[in-house]
Amino acid sequence: MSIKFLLNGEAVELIDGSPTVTLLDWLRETRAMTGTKEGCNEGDCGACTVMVTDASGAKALNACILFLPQLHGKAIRTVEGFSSPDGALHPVQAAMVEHHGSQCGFCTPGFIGSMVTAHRNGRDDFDDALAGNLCRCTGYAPIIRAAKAAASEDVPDWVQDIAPEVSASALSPETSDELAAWYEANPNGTLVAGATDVGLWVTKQLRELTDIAFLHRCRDLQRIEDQGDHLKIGAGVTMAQLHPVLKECHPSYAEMVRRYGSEQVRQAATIGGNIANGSPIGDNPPALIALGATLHLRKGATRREMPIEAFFISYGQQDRKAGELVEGVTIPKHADAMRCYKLSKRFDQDISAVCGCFNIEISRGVVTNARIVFGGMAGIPMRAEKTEEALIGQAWNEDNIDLAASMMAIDFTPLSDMRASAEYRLLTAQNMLRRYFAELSGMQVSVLEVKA
Amino acid sequence: MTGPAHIFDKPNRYIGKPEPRADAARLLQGRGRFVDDEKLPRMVHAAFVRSPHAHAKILSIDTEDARTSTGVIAIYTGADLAEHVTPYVGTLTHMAGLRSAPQHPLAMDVARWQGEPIVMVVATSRALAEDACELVDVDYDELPAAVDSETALDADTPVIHPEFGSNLAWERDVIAGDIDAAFAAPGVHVVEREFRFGRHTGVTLESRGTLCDYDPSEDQLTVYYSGQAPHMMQVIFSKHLGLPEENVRVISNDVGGSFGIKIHTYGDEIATAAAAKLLRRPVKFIADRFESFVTDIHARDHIVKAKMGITGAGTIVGIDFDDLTGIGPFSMYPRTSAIECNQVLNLTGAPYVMENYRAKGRVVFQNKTLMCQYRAVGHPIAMAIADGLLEDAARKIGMDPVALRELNLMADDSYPRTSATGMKLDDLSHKRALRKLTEIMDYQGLRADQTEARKDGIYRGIGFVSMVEVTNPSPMFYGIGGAPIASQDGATLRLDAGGALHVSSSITEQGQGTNAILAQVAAGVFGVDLNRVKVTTGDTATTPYGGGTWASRGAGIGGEAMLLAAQALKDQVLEVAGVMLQTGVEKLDIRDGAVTDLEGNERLPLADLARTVYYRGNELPNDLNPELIATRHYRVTDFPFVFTNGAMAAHVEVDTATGFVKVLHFWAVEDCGRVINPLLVDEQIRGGVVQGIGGALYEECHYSPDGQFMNATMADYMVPMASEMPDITIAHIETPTKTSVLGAKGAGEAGTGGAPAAILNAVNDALSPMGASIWQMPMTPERILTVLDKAAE
Repeated sequence: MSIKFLLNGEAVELIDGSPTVTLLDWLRETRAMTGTKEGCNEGDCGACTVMVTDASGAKALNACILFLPQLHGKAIRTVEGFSSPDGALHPVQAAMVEHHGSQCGFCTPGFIGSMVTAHRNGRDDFDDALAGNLCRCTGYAPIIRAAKAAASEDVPDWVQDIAPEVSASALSPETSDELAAWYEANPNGTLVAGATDVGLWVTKQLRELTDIAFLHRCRDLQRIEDQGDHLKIGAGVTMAQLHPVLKECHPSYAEMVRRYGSEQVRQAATIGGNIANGSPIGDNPPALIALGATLHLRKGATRREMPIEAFFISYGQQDRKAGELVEGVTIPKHADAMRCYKLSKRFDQDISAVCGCFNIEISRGVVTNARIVFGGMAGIPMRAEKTEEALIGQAWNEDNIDLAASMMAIDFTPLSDMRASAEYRLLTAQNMLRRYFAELSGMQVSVLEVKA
Repeated sequence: MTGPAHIFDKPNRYIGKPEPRADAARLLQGRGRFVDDEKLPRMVHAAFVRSPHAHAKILSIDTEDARTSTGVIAIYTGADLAEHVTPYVGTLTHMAGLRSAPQHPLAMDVARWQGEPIVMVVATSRALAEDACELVDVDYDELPAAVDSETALDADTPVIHPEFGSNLAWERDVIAGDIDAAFAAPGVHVVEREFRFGRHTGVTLESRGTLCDYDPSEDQLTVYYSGQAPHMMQVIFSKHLGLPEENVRVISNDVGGSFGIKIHTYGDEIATAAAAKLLRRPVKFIADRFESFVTDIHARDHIVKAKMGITGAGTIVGIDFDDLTGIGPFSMYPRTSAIECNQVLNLTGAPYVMENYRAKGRVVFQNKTLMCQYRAVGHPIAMAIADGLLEDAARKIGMDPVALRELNLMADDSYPRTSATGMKLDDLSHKRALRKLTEIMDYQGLRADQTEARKDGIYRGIGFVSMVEVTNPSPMFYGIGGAPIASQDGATLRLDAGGALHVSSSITEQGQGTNAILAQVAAGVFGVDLNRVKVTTGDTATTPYGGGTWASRGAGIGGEAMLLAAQALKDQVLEVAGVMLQTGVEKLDIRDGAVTDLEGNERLPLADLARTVYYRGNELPNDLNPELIATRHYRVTDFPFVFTNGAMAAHVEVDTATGFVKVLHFWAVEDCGRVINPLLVDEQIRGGVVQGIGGALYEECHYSPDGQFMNATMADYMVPMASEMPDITIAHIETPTKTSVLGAKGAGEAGTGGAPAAILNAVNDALSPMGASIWQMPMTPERILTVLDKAAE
């Protein structure tokens, strides 16, 4: 294993060591750089946020679920490296002093990591940029004020890292061809893309992983290809990369992606990872199924494709052979009636209780086609078939919506857990259909669009 | 009572000014020193085998395989440590009737909550210690668990401590007037509700942790402690580990949030100290996030059945309630777990004139994590009961909730007086606070908007709370009951040779800005530049003796001690200056680092004075004994507590299809007496409000029927995040307390105490057109949808 990266501008090369050591542990324990903090070790609190720069730009990432091989060829900047070499504070640090954005100081290094990165990228959507950072003292307003105050300041040159040129590493294939060959030869191996889920296997489930391939160097998997009426999205495309594209063609899906994990999670998490791990509460699959997406799989040189809903067989089981990888997904560019509703107890960074996606075609007041898909209602993301059937061929009116909504009780027997009871899940799923009807009828239904 | 506030008549550049805090630049560059950042030579790491059951008999413990695991230094069971650590009991003599069983750092024969430490493994790294924990084989006989507080006292519920015969830990009745007669009087309407307040917890970003080092050559234990009360912990380590008190040093450097979590005796921390002593080397234990969730104290857990009687004209005749509090299997040591309930009994309805009052409190044991004092102890419950019922009553008699408060709040000129429960009250400003609140929020405008929005099917609500907060506790709080908890605090100022002040205090910093206000008081009262004051807190070896920072006492008690010490040092310095300048001290002052005349003209720089004293004492008369250091202590004497007051309002919107609540805005008017630094007070109010909103809308520790904690991760336990928090408008009224010169009361908990009631009232206001109301916190979307459904039936 040879991993090369820049740490606060200094070249680092690691020759030996386990591929599942996290950047956070390495910083704190090996390098004695204790500025970066551990708050949860599962990517929820953001106290370990660092800035990682590569050819695609600067990203805020959680160091606690970032394995060292994922840094190969990147430039890392930690809280120790945000002020200038001669000691001058970065503009966001100075603004945080002035606006009292730090109280106990434990979340502060992570906030600074997110804020420096947002500042570097010229962002002004601070609520979104900081949604992955948890503060228990300030109530957030002073931090947001500091971020706004610093926004107009120039980006200091000392944080404008350039990722180092590196040669290929055995752990991280450079192309999907290499990756497919490796995976076919190592069918029991583990593929690590963003590690937002696999990271937890190591930090929380304490699993030992062997035979790992890291996907971040496979550039050809990170493309979004415009095919006229369709978009082909590579499996390695991150949610952050996908978001602006969705904003153009599927704004409702994009709005859901805005609430997908947090900034740090979206910068790391890939669409392929979210599909491949088959979680019943992943937020992409319901949207992709509603769009009628096609999934592309590849084993060695053999490729196959399928409607994405066919991929999810039952809880924990997908139609994927050993050594076969998710290569990408194709979605239509247009689906004007597509809407996504994510329901969770907290607006930001919360796992969905129910995620409902609707794509219903209506011609002259009659439903001609319906795709209604839910996450959180069954062991897999699933279409509401009886509900769809009840709508197709019927007039698009309130009575028929009520009738169709009642069919959901036949389509689903959801679980009760601490996120929601079965009754609540069913009721809100039904209400989502009613909301969809209201929204398509031109009523204002998003609380966010209401002005106080 | 001390004299008039004459020092505030003089030029003062710091007290009351929005100075930035000096600690910030350090923390912003990652230079904070939290416990896990400390590393000592020969340091080893502890991990714990914890009970997977809520209630289980420990049949046997097999550590053989673990002992030979790589890197393992030592393994201890409950019985091993019991030979070196005496047990502790969470009772206080002034909480009459409170009972709890002896606790050991590691469970002895029975495990009583999921997460209770059973076996300690010490190894060369935390990872290796955890690996060895996996190899420890504990054989349990699972026992039926008493989980639900509502059934804790039922005959067929297992009794957690059989020697007590029931799960009752404590009960108290408070009776004033004749509530039954008052409710039965003609024309009195009675509203009745059952409130449920879920369990939540602190989720300090820095988890609990300790690094303990033992030096056998001096029998000295040094404890790096992430917490609020170093001197209290010094006594506890000394007493239970059998060390002379003076041989225990407790150091709290930076503390990453505490909120009342890190002020108790935790078995894993005591075990870490014991292991350091036994192994004669440094041992570190840092709780991971799961351990924090299952072992940090939890908060609230009340079921309250409450009634309020009100006349048709809107006069409150009284409150009657029954509070049931679940505290886990033990009362926490040494503060006890009965104070939360006691506060509810004492504080409910305290802002209002009321003749009749009846309250019953029962505190019960359960097989859950221990519950104890968390930010705003008991306050959110007390405020939600009184103000929740008040707005319910307002709806019942068709009166505006603000007008109803105007009618019933104690008049600002009616103090000193007592509350219905007999609490001594003074220097409060409820009516002024409420009027200021309705002004800054444009109450009438919001009501008009509410009416308009309802026409479009948009349901917004406005909710209020008028509240008190207990601050600056006297010895009547803990000391009287036998707890080693100082109610007084000390401050020392030393003028150094360079003319700078070195000050130290026994109050502590966990992010409130303690160090900043100490510096502001010292600089302002003594007369130097703020940047020439260095502050030391959080070290039993180097600071005066005192209680630390909790119960919003830092500014009021620690600040007053600093003020008194600064005045004393100033007098001492001026005495020297008078001799050196051959001038009467009454003609001298200290300003901007120099002795001046009364017009402010410089006569003698402090550095010149100090150098003369320290280096060239031969220039001074032999009968002058200069003392350039002064220490003073302060405690509250005339009152058991000082009270602050405030008025708050929330504006929310409820999505009636999903039950989702969006907080649109929040306003707080706070009277915390003299404000030392308005930015710091605003921070405390704002952060407190957000924690209160957390408890009201999101945060809950979910337990399964058999006592398993279901959501012990940050992904599943929800604290408020940036985007859903509203902006919070804060305004102040300053009614200084007459108990001190400084006049500061404390502001750390008001937001958390008041916000839940305001949010509850706002949600219920929004739901009122549907005839629905909710009385359970957190008010999750599901619960709101359920009450809407019920109302529609």
